[in-house]
Amino acid sequence: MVNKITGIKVLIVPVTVGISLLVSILFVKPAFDDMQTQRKKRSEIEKQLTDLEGQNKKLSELKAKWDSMADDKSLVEGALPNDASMDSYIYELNERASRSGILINSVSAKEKTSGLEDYFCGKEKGAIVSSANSSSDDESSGNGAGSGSKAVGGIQPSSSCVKGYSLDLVVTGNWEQIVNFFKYLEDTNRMANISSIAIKSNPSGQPGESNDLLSTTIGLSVFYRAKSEVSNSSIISSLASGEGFEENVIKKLNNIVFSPYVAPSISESGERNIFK
Amino acid sequence: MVTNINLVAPESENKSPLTGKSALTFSILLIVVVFLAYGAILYFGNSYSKQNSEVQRSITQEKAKMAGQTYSDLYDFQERLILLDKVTNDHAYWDRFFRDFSRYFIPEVRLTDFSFDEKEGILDVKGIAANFEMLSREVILLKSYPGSESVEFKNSSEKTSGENGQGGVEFDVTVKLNDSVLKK
Repeated sequence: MVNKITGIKVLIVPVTVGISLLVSILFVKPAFDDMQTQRKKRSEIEKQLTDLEGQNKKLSELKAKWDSMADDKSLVEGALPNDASMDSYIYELNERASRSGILINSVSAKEKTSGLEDYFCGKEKGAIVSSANSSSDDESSGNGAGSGSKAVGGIQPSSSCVKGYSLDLVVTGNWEQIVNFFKYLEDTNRMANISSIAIKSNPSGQPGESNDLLSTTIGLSVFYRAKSEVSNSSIISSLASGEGFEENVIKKLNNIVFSPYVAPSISESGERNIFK
Repeated sequence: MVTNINLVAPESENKSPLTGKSALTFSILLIVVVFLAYGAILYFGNSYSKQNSEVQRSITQEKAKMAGQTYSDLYDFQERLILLDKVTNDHAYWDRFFRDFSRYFIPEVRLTDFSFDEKEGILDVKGIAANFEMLSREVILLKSYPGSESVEFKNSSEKTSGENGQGGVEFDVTVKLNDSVLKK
């Protein structure tokens, strides 16, 4: 009996220490590591939350600023509208044709399915394969990464592209009127780029007959972009980081659309009607 | 005679290093400490985990707010600006080009056809020169135009004068334009 008690006395401490060690190794240490991980994670995600709150604050300030930019908004929406709105563009063209004195013979428009421009949805050589191209107008080209479009070679997401119309315009006028009309075409409210030009003299087609009238065919690319509900992450992060809007573009647009009109001064400083 | 000197203190001679009671107390205390430590660690671990979940929820809300409808107008506006920047970079200023380019035509030459396609970037110029000498002068003059990369003479043929005396040399010349010449 005495020996047994002595044995227990001798064993109880090492056994307890052993059990404690075992518990520490098997349970306490992993729990401690886990706690440390959670603690570390907390400080990281708290920082992330602080950043996000800061970014949201910046966005809310930007929104307040944007709400007060009524003129700039209408300038931008006019330059790159939400839909094709070819009727209003043709109306604008007609108005400018009247001002320059030329006669519009014909106007034809067709939806552009491919283009050289790298910002066009369906660029000819290369980069973008967009499912939005073959669909109807209400599909936004800017549906972001989840729009079902993919960038081949990772060049450009489909959200950063425009759709457009090719417009062929046949006009008749004399040299001064034609040059005048080109000046008017440059500062239309809606951005359109001239893709081709063909000017022919003597549009009446009578051999030997000479007159001042020139027949001009102008190919125009007119763009639009459906409003995107979902944006791409680079835009979000650039705005959230407080970079602000691309105000240089607004300035550029103002310079184009509201440029003071200076009528071309033909033949006053060496320039001449090259068709005469 | 051998003398034994006992160096051990008499009180410690009888004292065992660990009594049964103290060994038990030590063991229980050790186990309690270990379990208390484990409990404390679990408690803090759970507490951190809960806090993390709450912070994660707040992060998700903030992200949803950022990517949601609240600011979609801003993103759309910014994307429109970026695209307009690219569109305006391609904007061509033809009236200015005509004014500059027309200085490079001598009075003895008049054009009948003028065409340009941005795909090729080549200007095709057809016209009538008074004679071959004037045509050669014209081609030389066109080569000096700063906006031209190259000038290629295609063909020419003599044209007999018609009823209103507009004879001369018909020609076809192509001019490869610099990318920047039509832009501001």
